[in-house]
Amino acid sequence: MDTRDKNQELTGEGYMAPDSGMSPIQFDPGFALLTDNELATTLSENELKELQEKKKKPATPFQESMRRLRRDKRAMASVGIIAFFVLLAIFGPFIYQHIGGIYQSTLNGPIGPEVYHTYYHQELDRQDELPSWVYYFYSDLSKADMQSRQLPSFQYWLGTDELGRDLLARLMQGILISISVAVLVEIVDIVLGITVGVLAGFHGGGIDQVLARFTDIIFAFPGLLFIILVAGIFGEWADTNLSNIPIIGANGNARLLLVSLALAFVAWPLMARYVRGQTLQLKEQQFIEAARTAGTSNTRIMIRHIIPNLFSIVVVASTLNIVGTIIAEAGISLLGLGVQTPGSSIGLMISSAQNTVASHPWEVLLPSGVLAIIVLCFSFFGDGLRDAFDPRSKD
Amino acid sequence: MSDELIGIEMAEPAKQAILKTTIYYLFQGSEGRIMVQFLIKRFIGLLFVVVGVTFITFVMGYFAPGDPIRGMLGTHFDPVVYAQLKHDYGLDQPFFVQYWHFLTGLFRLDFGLSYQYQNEPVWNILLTGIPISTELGFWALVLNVLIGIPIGIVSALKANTWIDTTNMGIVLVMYSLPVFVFAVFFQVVVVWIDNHTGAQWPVANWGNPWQYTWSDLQFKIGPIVILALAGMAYLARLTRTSMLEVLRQDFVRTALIPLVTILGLSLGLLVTGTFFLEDIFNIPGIGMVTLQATQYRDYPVIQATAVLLAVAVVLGNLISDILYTLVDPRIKAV
Repeated sequence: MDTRDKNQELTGEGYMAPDSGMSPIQFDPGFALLTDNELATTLSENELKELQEKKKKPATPFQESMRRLRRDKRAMASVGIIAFFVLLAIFGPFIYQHIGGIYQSTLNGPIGPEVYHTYYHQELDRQDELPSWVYYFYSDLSKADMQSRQLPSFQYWLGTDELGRDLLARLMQGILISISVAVLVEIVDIVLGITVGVLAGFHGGGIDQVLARFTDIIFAFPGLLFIILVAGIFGEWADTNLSNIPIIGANGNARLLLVSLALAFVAWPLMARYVRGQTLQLKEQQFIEAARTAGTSNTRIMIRHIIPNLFSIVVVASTLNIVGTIIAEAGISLLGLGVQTPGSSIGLMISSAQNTVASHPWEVLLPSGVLAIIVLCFSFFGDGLRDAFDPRSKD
Repeated sequence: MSDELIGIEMAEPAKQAILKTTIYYLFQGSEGRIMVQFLIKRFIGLLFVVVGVTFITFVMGYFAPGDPIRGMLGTHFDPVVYAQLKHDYGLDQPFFVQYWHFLTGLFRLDFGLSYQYQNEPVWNILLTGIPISTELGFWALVLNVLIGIPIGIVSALKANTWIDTTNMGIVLVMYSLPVFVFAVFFQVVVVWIDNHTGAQWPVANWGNPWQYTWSDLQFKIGPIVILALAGMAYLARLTRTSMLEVLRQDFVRTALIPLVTILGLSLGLLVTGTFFLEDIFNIPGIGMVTLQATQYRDYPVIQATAVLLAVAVVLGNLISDILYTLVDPRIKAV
């Protein structure tokens, strides 16, 4: 019944190898009980390799954790899926814009895939006939409807929306937006969280008090509400003033910077609190004591000895925070306060397809399904990381 | 005489005992007294948080770009009218005076005047949405407790069986996925059923607030259940953990304690979830009012919502603290 014992059995030293305490390699009575050749016949190749590695040097706690993580199938599968979406978002558009022939548009003249496979290109007056089998499956499709909205085809892999914009291109852009916001927020979160957390934990006193009070306020303020407040009040200002910045400001992305900063502002106190707790524990450890006795300055102790030891807690906390960040960005865009048209974001795709949910459920299922997959993968991966780096935290 | 003497003799130790206990309870500290001290401390913390939240909200409104009065009057306006309006809205006063008015106004539920609807108090605008949003939140909270806790208990009692694994798998998905994803999935399914069976189940709008005829219920069931999902899952996980802990120990204590503390947190989940649901299901609640205000740059309405909801969350935390001290006397150690 006790899961904790079971875990130790599964992840501890003795798993896969023979009981290490009694193995002929570690217990060396002065003469070999088994020669290496004999060992090779009794053990499989992997077990032998593992034994030899163990003989060379004991695994550091970090290596142990990584090994535990690699054994977590659900977490590893999630990493794979996340990697797929990241690669799709970064390289997908470049490839996709080279696929498909020249298309004769009544409004835009002859255009190639580098135009109609961008996420903002609209094609409102399509004239080409659909293959007859389409009408067999979708008998209620009207001709007028099909002038802009295309079903999945070789030209538009996932079809187009009501304005004739390519859904796959918009989806890839939306994922890219989600990931960029997550990265930006995590950078601010980690830098601020570590700086303030370490200082508060190491020195205590005033900065600790300020952090504690500030965290109280942020915790009381429902995070999303704060972001709605910021985006609602400063959104239009961002639209007019930040839209001149290339890439991050253009195409309706101007508010993203604002939303990201607001998200980071809400996120960092929690990180700082985790870091502070860990620093308090580390401070009492003997190696810090030793460093101090050797005359190491406080700054150096913090940089060389404390911050490297925060690695696992920061990685776990920020991975779990990414989940909240991605959801918040999508949510804010869904409420119309984030990315603006012609830009694309998963939330914006959901909200614009939501009006036609009765006739075209596919358009709303696609972005929300992808969002669900990404969010679940990040939660699974975060859970796996936490279990691997801190097995005691498992309920 | 002797009776009196005996009486005095008998009474004296009793009196002393009473006096002693009174002194002890008043000055040495009893559970009750320390509980009161703890609550006072919490209350001061709460005041601090409320002031902090109002300050952040106020500062953002104060530094908001654009001149709201100019926006109201259009391009051509009479400077006298402009000055008069600016005075009416209190915008001609210095920073701290404005903040003081903002802060004192809160206690009278006076959030100032709306920019969008001139001379309309913000409170009146919010009042149209409050009954609907509180109804949505209330029933979701009820569902949280009525369904979340039993799921957790069943999982703990059947720990590590297939029942537990399935339960916890579903709960993890419920907790991880955002409320708006569930909402649009729900709409897709309901619309599909409507189209294929001729049913008329609605996927938008809200019936009459706090009335429960069948047609009202049809509007309300979907949003309420969806809003409750995340909190339900959270409560189920927490119940399971705390039940397992209790079952493992040699002595029995109530497993209720950690649950009480998260009431405040589930309130936060409900508040943010409300915004999405009201947007997606077109429910004219407080979230909808606020979102409309963002379109018209009606800052006072946005500020009022932020402060009200934050205060609601803080009060929820305070209530769970009070419940905590009642359920668990060991709190005096804090």
